[in-house]
Amino acid sequence: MNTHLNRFIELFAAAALVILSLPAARASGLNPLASYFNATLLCKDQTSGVICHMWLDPDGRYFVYFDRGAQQVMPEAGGNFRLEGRHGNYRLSGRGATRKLCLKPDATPGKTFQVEQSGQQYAGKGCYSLELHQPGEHWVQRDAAGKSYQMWLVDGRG
Amino acid sequence: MMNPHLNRPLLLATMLLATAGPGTCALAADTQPLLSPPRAAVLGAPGTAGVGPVIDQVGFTGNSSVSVADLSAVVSLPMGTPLSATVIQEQLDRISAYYEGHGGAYVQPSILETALNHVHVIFQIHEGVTAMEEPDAAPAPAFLDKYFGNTLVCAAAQTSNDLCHMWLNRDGTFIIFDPNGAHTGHWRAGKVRADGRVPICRYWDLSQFVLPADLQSRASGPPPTISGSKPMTRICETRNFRTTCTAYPDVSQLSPELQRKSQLTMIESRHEEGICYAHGPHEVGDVWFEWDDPLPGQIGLDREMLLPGQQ
Repeated sequence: MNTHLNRFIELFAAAALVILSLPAARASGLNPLASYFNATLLCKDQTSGVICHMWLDPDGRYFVYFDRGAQQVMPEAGGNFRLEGRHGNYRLSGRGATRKLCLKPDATPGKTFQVEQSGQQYAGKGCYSLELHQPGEHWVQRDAAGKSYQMWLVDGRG
Repeated sequence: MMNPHLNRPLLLATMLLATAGPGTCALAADTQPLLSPPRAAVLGAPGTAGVGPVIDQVGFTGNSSVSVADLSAVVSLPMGTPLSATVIQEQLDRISAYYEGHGGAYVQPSILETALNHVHVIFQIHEGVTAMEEPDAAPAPAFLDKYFGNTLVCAAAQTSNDLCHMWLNRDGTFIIFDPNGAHTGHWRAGKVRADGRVPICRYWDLSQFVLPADLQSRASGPPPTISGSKPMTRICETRNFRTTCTAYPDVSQLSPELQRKSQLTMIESRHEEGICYAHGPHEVGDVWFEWDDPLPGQIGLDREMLLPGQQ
């Protein structure tokens, strides 16, 4: 075997690997929310105890639901539900580590969301602060009204 | 707003109630098929929340060879009896036993909440049918259209507490969420059964999601065990569009396959085995009780309601 040829092949292969991996690295680097796409963003309102679970999809759709904790017995269909969930579209705005997550929930005619009325984070239409984090991280943040939330970014969807 | 389907049994029940003494079972004859069950139109009766559902109307459908009077004598349900799976099972056994001498029958209950905690039980009798046909996979029946784009709520049978919300999608996917988390997956329908319900088996997507410990205290914990009793391991298995969950005291005595299944997480089990529930024809706004839940809650039954939109 020719050692020069072997050396050339090794160098060529290494260069090819670097070149081939660049677009993928660039693509993941382009989307600051990449670490959110197979994860669940959890929030807990420090005052009310309401918990949210949010999923962000790469196509700009989101799903969020809220656990309001034990409520009085539902007197009727359409009454006081413990759980409330909705779908919608989102976009990310701003630059740097702290961005704005702007949500536009799908219309649900006739339904009044208790979590939206009580001003829960991510419950209605609007832009919310979103610190960029990695799965496994746990932090505290405040919304525009100064309300404090415990936050988690957890691997997987749930 | 009253539903015409509801009017006839209510009228008959009212007539019977007028002639029956206190504590007497009021039996309403109703031979109308229940393919479109009545809507629960009178929700919110004061003073009954938290007491739990009671039976105040009973009816029969499908009984052509046996009279309502004969069936009334077989069934023993004093007016105001608290609803439970045990009470319903006792009546099913009585009716089935009676029919053994009359060509056999398959009997299923339809349990509708006509006002908060006021329940109308209709025994659906399928004469000449001695066993439920095992269903095959089949296209989704047209009545499932009412479920698509809307929300099926599962609630505690006694307290009405909100336990889960499910969005069943026409494209074969679903989302279900409860205090423990949300799950996506796909569903498959079996054939419509003799009782008019269709078994829908839901298969969850796999996920490594674990609710953080700080949040677990608020979610539902494991099922309560009797103090001092040996812990049981519950294993759910699905065959022919029916899920059966069995509690075993000693896993080491089980087959290797069951031992393997006992090690699955709930997400893995729901992914592999799925979980099947029967769904009947309902209108948005209906509230009813499901009888054959593989994991029944309070009083052995599930309270369900169909709400408009995804919420």
